[in-house]
Amino acid sequence: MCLAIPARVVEINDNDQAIVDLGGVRKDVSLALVEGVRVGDYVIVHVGYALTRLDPEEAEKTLALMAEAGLTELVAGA
Amino acid sequence: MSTAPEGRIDVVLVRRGGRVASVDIRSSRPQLARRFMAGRTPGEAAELAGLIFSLCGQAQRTAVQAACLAARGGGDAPWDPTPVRMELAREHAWRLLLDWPREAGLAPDMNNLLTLRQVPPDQFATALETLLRETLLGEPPSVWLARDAAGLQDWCRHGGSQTARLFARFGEVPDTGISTAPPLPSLAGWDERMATTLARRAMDEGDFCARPDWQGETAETGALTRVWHQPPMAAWLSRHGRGLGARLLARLVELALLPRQLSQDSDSPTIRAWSPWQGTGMAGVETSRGLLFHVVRLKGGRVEDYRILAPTEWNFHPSGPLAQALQSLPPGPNLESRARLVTRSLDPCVDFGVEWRDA
Repeated sequence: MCLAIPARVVEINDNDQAIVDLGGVRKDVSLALVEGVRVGDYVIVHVGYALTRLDPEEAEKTLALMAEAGLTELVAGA
Repeated sequence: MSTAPEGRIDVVLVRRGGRVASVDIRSSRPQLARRFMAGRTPGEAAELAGLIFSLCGQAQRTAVQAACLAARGGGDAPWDPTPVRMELAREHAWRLLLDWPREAGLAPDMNNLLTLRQVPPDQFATALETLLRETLLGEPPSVWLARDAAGLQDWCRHGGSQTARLFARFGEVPDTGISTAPPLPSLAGWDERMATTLARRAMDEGDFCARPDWQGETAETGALTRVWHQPPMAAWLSRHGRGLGARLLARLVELALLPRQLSQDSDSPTIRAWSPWQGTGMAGVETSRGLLFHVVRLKGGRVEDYRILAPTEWNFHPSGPLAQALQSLPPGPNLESRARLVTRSLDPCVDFGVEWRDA
């Protein structure tokens, strides 16, 4: 029951590697399993891999739902 | 933010004299179902489940729909299991193409996993059959599934595929990470009485969904509890026991069964629902990691109370299958890497860490 927390892509490097911002925390992730990701897109991350790309509207909706459920700290910097 | 909001599993092992002296499993996974679902209509709750759960969104969404319909007196409708089974197949493929080769020092197969994740639903069964025949098994799934003990051993030694070589490594030695926790019955074995018992405990006992037991005992859930009777699986179990190799093989066996199950009705249910008492619904859905349960109480067309009991909570119970599997590790070299592999064989749906302390 892992939560699908949207993380914003802030930097894309070589070899399908990227840096994402998740609630103000930066993490290295692999983009090998998603295509067409650009800086500024939101992705769902699981154990170091971006699983899916979200459009900003969908990402904001999810973040708002999580904030509404009381998980405010994770959306603070997203 | 010290830990990820979805929580994690931390295993602390104490070593004394080269063996595991004690096992402490801590989960920081939050129980969020009620907080997320209360006050929503069944439709809103289903949409929410699909959005907020990353690995098993289809299973969670379907569980909401099935539980809510049952709560409204709609009974156990014939839900289409295809999206849930495709999700399950992709998870198994991830383990078999990426995680386990990496653990064994073999090359991960990113391209085939990407193909399976992107193929349109109407071509999924064909793509999976091709992946099994050409990459994982090296022969048609129907041929491989008929292999007995000698046939499976022959495939491990001479099968030629990377997956066969992976199992050869686990198959030449006694299995490790044996759990004596009884298997949680697969969905086919559940009836109204069992569902009512589980639903009542989930609703009434504060920490049941965080540390569940079945009839007073911890239990193991996963692909193994669904495919134990298939010939290659039965052969492995009788030869090696129910350990990490068995758990990994169960995923391959289930994946090999799926092309046929996706194109025609299967005898084994993937989704079932009951109404244990008026206004309450319970759904069970088979996922890659095991049996997922949802229990909902509706009032005035909206969710009044909600519980989710996920497979990770059965397998990572502080005295459950993982604890037993780690406690039973024989002393010897590579104790640390064996402990990590055993933990991975039970496949928590969140990040995990294994830490050692010397007594």
